Amino acid sequence: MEFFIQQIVNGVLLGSTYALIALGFTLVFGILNVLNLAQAEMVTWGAYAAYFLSLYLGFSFPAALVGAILFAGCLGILVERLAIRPVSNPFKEAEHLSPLIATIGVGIALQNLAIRVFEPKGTPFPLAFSGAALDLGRIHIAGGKLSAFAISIIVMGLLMVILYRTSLGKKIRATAEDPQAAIFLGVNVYSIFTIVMFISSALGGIGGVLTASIYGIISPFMGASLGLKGLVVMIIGGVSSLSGAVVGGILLGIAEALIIGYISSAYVDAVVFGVLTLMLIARPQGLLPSFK
Amino acid sequence: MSEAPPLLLRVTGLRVRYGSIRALDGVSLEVRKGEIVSIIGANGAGKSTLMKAIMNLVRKETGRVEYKAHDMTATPPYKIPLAGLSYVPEGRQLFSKMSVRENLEMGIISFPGRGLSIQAELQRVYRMFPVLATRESQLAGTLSGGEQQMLAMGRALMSRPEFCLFDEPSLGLAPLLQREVFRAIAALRAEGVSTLLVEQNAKKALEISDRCYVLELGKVAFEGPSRDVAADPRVEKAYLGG
Repeated sequence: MEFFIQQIVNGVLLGSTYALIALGFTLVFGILNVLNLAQAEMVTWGAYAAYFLSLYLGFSFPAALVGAILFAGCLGILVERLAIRPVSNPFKEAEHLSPLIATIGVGIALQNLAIRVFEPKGTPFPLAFSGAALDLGRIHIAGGKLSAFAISIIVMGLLMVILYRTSLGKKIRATAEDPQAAIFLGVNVYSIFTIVMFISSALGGIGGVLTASIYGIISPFMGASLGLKGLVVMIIGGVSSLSGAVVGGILLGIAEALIIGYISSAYVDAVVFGVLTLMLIARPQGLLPSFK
Repeated sequence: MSEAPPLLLRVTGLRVRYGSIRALDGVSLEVRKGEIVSIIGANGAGKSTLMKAIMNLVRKETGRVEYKAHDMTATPPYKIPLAGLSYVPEGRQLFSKMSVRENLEMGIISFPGRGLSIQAELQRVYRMFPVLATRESQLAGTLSGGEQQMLAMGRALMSRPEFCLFDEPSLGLAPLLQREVFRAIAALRAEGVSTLLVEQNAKKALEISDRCYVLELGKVAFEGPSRDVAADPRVEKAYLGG
């Protein structure tokens, strides 16, 4: 029983990072009407930004995290300007394919750039968490995972405050529901798109830094695997559902931890995509309703 | 009529096409300060397209839109409301997942330059449409059709516009609610707001407006003081069921 609870705890801690990455997918899909597959590379590049800031400028963890947020966010703005905006029309629901393919292209370019520039086999991450572990009876929680979880929760809380308690958030939600109505009420929706791309990509970057801090290693391929998980989470949760992204992330984390604990880590991906397939058959709209 | 009030809106030679279909074929019109100007015409005559073209929500082939003598033909659409025009579209386009109050706030938060207090404007709109106050925290999508129309109008009035464009405000409403909508439009004139009104209820539109344009197949078929238009036998026959 303790082992079971231990794995559930591990899963929740791990899942919070997936939720962050998935929220990035969800926001862009909900507001720009684009499935942004370049989101995965924000995870990688956010982690490397923190790595270089720490290595060459001696940044501490919080400073490097802020640096990674800014770097990934600005990279996201560039993706929107250069790849999404020229080929998309957010006012027509039907046009999903061209911007999707454009973001796949950007994703491949960014990943291959990372493979060229950085060590493809991976590099130790200097800002690994070293917080004291928490022992609750026989349940053991590694300090690093706990810190990453706490940061994820704070970030998600901030996101909800922005979306539901500020006028920027009101404009974002209005743009998600009816961009044309937002426009005739004086909202510059293109600046909303820019802000949403910044936020979403920054969420990916934070996910990358937290994962790197937990495992103590980064590689040019980390985004591809985490990004794919974020995408699965978004689909399980419901494509335009913020709560769905959070719940889906936690569920995926728990599922992975249980598979690793009781079966074998070799079966993680098989089970995850198996669940995704079942989900698409049984409940294609996802677990929770859309926010728009 | 000693001196005509100043010209607010001037539209000249507007042409809009959707693919191979021409929706507007050279429409010109004017609205002066304090006027209620109505546009009537059959379905597909181009009434809604005309409204959208003024708000720059559809692409204009040719033509010119001036507001207070400023050329607004190429103004980005989100800047047009900032010039003082408010638009209530056909079908209302409310934010159904937002509360009544949040919908109303959306009508004002992009206008910080006007120095209006959100609270004061909310109270003003609630006085105008008391039912909205009782529904304040309800989601807009759960309102009845009449309440939704009041909300759409209230949202448009939050920023204290000088000029309102109402597209089919009485469509689908019970007669009692229609009367309330027209009463609100007439009350706006008393506050000095000018109105361009598209209506399928031609009789009511002619009653409430000062002047009227009759659109047919994307062209102005005739125009004039509403009293004269209402008396025209052709209008009577085609639009008033005479």
